[in-house]
Amino acid sequence: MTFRFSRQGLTPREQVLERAFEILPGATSWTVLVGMVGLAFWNPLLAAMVVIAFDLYWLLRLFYMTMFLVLSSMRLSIEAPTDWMARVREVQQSDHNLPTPVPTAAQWDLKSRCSLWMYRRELRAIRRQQLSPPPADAIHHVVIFPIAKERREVVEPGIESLIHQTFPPARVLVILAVEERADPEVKVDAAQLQQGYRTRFLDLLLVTHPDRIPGEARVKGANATWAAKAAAVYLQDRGIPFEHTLISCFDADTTVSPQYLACLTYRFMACSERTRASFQPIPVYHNNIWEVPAFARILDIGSSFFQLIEATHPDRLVTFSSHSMSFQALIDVGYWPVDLISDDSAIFWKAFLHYDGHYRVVPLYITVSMDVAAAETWRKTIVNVYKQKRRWAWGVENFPIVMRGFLRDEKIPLFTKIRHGFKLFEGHVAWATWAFLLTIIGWIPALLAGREFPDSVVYYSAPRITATIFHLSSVVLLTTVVLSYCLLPKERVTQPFLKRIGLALEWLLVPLVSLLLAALPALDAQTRLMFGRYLEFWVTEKPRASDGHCLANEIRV
Amino acid sequence: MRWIRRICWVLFVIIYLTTCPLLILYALGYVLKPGSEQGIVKTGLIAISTNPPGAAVYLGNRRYTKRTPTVLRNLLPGEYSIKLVLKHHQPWTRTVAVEAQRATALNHILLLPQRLREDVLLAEPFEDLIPIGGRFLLLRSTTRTGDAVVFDVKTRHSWPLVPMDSPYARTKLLGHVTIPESPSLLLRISGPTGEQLLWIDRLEQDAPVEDVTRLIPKRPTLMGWDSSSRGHLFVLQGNTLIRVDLAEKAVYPTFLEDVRGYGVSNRMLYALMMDGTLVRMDLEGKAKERLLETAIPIRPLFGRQGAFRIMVGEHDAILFLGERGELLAGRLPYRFVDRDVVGVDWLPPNQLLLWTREQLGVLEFPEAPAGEEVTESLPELQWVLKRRVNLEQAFWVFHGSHVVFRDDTQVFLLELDPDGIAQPALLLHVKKQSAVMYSDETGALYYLDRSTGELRTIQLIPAR
Repeated sequence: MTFRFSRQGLTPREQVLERAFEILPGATSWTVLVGMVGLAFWNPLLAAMVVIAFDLYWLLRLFYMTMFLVLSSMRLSIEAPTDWMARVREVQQSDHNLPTPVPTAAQWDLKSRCSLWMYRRELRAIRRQQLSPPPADAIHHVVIFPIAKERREVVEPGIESLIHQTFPPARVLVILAVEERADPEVKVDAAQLQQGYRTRFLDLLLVTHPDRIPGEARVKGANATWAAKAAAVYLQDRGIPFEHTLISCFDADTTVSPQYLACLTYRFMACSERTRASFQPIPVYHNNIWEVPAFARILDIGSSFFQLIEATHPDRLVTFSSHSMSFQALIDVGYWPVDLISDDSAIFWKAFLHYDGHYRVVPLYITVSMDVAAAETWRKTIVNVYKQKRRWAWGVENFPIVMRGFLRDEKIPLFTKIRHGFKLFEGHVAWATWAFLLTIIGWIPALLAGREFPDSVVYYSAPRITATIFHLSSVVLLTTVVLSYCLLPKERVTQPFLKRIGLALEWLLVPLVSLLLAALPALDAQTRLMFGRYLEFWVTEKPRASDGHCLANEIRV
Repeated sequence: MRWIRRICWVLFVIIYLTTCPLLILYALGYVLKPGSEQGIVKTGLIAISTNPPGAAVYLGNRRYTKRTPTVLRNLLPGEYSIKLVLKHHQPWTRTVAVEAQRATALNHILLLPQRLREDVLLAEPFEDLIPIGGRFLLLRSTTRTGDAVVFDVKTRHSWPLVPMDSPYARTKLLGHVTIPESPSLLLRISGPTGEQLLWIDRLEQDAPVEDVTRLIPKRPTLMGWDSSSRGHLFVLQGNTLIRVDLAEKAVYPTFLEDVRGYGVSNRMLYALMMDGTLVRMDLEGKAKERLLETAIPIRPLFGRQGAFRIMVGEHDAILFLGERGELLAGRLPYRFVDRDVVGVDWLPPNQLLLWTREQLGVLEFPEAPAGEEVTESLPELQWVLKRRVNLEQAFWVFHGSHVVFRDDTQVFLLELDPDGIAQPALLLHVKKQSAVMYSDETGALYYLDRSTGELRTIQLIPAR
C-alpha cells in the first residue's frame, strides 16, 4: 500500500482521524486514572473489587512475562558463545548440501548442545522452505551513526567495536551522519574519525545532513535518511546489490559485540523473505552502567528485560532503538520518517503498512550496548532520564498514523490489524497507568474502607488478598534481581559481596522509579499528544568518564 | 517459542478467568463449604484484638490456632461463643452474632490480670487527691497549703506545692479550680489578709505562685480558661463575662454582656447569649461569628436563670451543662438530661460519657452534622448503668471500650457492650471522699489507699 507515514500533508478527513487517534491513548489513560479515583470515592467497595481484579491480572501478567524473560535470558546465554561466522559459511551452501552439525569435543556442555539443537532446527527449516541463502561474500553492511552533538569519545568505541567484528570489516560501510547544525568541534571529531578509520572498512563516509530541509523535522530519522540515501548512491556506484545489503541504524553511543554483524548476517541468510524483515538485537545499557545512580541503572536494566521478553514474541515484535534491516526494504518503504521522533519503531510500522502486513522483526539474541542517560549531577540525571523516557513514550505518536493506515489498508487481515492496534494502544496505556494504579490509586479504596465499610467482610479480606498478591510478586522481583546479576557486566570492585547486596537492594526502588520515571513521562507524552503539543527531538546527554573507560559488551551470561 | 507462548497464554487466561471471580467472591464473604447441602455459602467474620495481645482464641469448644490479634474467617451466620485465654489474665468470654458478609469487630478487648498489682507511689498518709490536667495529682494531708504535694504521674516525681519558705506555706487551703487537660491551677487560700486567690500557671517544681486576688472578682458564677492558651482567664459574673489577662495583669470587666453561658476550647470562646444566639470568637473577642442560624428557644430550654458551661466536641458538637446538672445540645434534640449531671468526659470524635449520682450514660453524636436529615441522625443517649449509690467520677479507658468509675469509695471497671449491659467489675476501694485519676497516657489508675492513705497505682492497660 502506498501510504504517507506522516502527520503532515493530510486531507481534512485524515486530519480529523489523526487528531481522534492522537487523543485516544491519553484520554483513555486519564479516564482510567481519574475514573478509578472517582470510583474509589463514589463506591469504595466496588473500587476495592476492581483493584483486586486488576492486581490479580497484573500478577499473572508479571509471572507470564517473567517466564519469558527467563527463557529469553537462557537463549541469550546459550547463543553467547556461538561462532556465527562459522554458521554463515555453512548456511551459504546449496540446499541439499546443508550440513548436519554435530557437537565437537568442546561443545558437549548443555549450552552448546542447546545451541546446536536450535541450529539444526533452523537448517531443517531452510531445507523445508527451500530457501536459497545468498552467498556470504555478497553480503554487505551499512552502519549509520547519526551524530548531533556527540563527541569523539562517545562515537569512537562504536567504530572500534565494528573493527573487531568476526564479519570482515572490508564489507562494512560506516557512515558518520553529522548534523549541519552540530558544533564545529563535533564536525572536527567526525572528520578525524573518518581519517583514522577509513581504511579499516569498505569505507567510512562522513555525510553532513543539511539543516532546515523542507518537510523535515529536527529528528534523528531525517539525518539517518539523508545518510542512507548517500549510502544508496555509494552502493549503486560500486554495483553492490541492495537486496544483499543490511543497514544498521545505531545510536551514536552504540557499541556492538564482535559477533554482532556475523549473527545479523546469519539471521538474514536464514530468513525467509529476508528483504521484508528488520532485525532487532537486545539493547543493553552497559557503557556507563556502573557510573550512574541506582534509579537510572534499574530503569534501563528494566528496559533491556522488556526487550528480552518482546524478543520471544516475534509476531508482535517492533523495532526499538538500534536495529538493522534489509537495505532493499528501507529503499522500498522510502527510508525512515523524517518528521517523527520515534524513527526506530516508526520504520517498522512504515514497512508493515507498505508491505500490507508482510513485514516482521526477527529477534537477534545478541546485545548492543548503549549509554544510560546520565549527567554530572543527580538532579540533572533525573531530568535527563525523565526526558529520555518521555521521548521513548512518545512512540505513541505512531498509534494515530498506524491506525489511519490500518483503516485504509484492505489487504491486512482484520485480526492482524486488531492484534497489532490493540497491542500498541494497550501497551502505551498500561505504561502510563499501571504504576499509578499499583502504587497510589489502588490504595485509595483501602484508605476509605475504614469510613465506608468497616463492618463488612471486604474490609478485612481485601487488604489480605492484595498483600498476598504483592508478596507473590516478590518472586518476580527476586527472579529479576538474579537475572540482573547474570546480565550486568562484571565490575572490578574490591568488595563484590557488598556490591551485590547493594545491587539487590536497588530493586526496592522499582515502585518509585516506575512511577516517576516511567509512568509519569509516559502520561506526559500522551497528554502532550492529546493536546497536540508535539515534542521536539531532544538529544540525550552522553557524558563519559575522564579515562574514557567503556564496559560495552562485557557481558557475563 | 511460539507454541510455548500460546499454551502459556491460554493457561494464564484460564487461571485468571477462574481465579478472579473466586477471589472477588471470597473477598465478599462467599466460600465453598464441602458437603452435599452446603455448596457456596455466605459467611461473616469476627476480628479480635486484645491488650495484651497473644491470647488463645476458643470458638465454642474449638481452640483456634492463631492468637490475638486475629480474624476468624469463613464463619456461617449464627451465634458463636468466643473465649479468650491468656496466661495470668482473667479469661474473657462473649457470645457474638455473626451475619453474612458482615464483620464483627471485637477490637480493644482488655484482658485484665488475674490479680491487679498495686504499687505504692508515695508512702505517706494523704487525706485528699485532686487530679489536675490528666497528669498531675495534688495530694493533701492537712489543710495547710505548705503540706500539699504535687505528683507527676508521667515522671513519678513529687514536690511540695509551695516551698516551705513561701509566704503561702502556712496558709489554709480552702479550695481549687482546675479544668481538664490544663496543667494550670487556681487556689483559694485563707491568708493573713483574708481570702486570697493564687495562680500557678504550669505545675512544675518551683513553679511561681502569683497572687491574683485583686484581678478576679469575688463570688464568680463560672470560671475557666483555655487549656491550649495560657494566661487568659474568663469569669462569668451575673450575665457579664469578664476577661482577665494574667500576663499583663489586666481586667476587661465588660468583655461580653448578656451572656447566659460560655466555654473556651482550642483558643476560641463560645458564648450563649441571653437572646438564644450562640456565638464564637477568638480569645481577644475578635472574629465573632454566629454558629446557629436560628436562635435557641432559650426560656423553654434553659429556664429563667442559671449559668451554663459550654463544652465543645469534634465537628462542632456543642453541649451545655447547667448549674443544676441540665445537659443540653446545640442541635436537636436539645435537652438530653433535665438535671443532676455531675460530670462529662469526651471521647473523640463523637462520644460523651456522662453521669449523675445514680446513672452512667453514653451520648453518641452522628459524625456528620445534622442538617436536613435531622430526624435520621439524632444524637443518642444510652444509660449503660443505673441504680448506683454516689457516682462521682468516670473516665473513658482503652479507646472507649471500657469505663472506669468511682461510686463513693468503690472503683469499678465497666466493659461497654453494644449488644447488652455488662456487669461492672470491682477494682478496688479508695479513701473516702478522695478522688481517683486514670491516665490514658500511662494506662494506670491512681488513688489513695482506703486504710493507709498512701498514693497507689494499678496498671490497667499494659504500659506501652
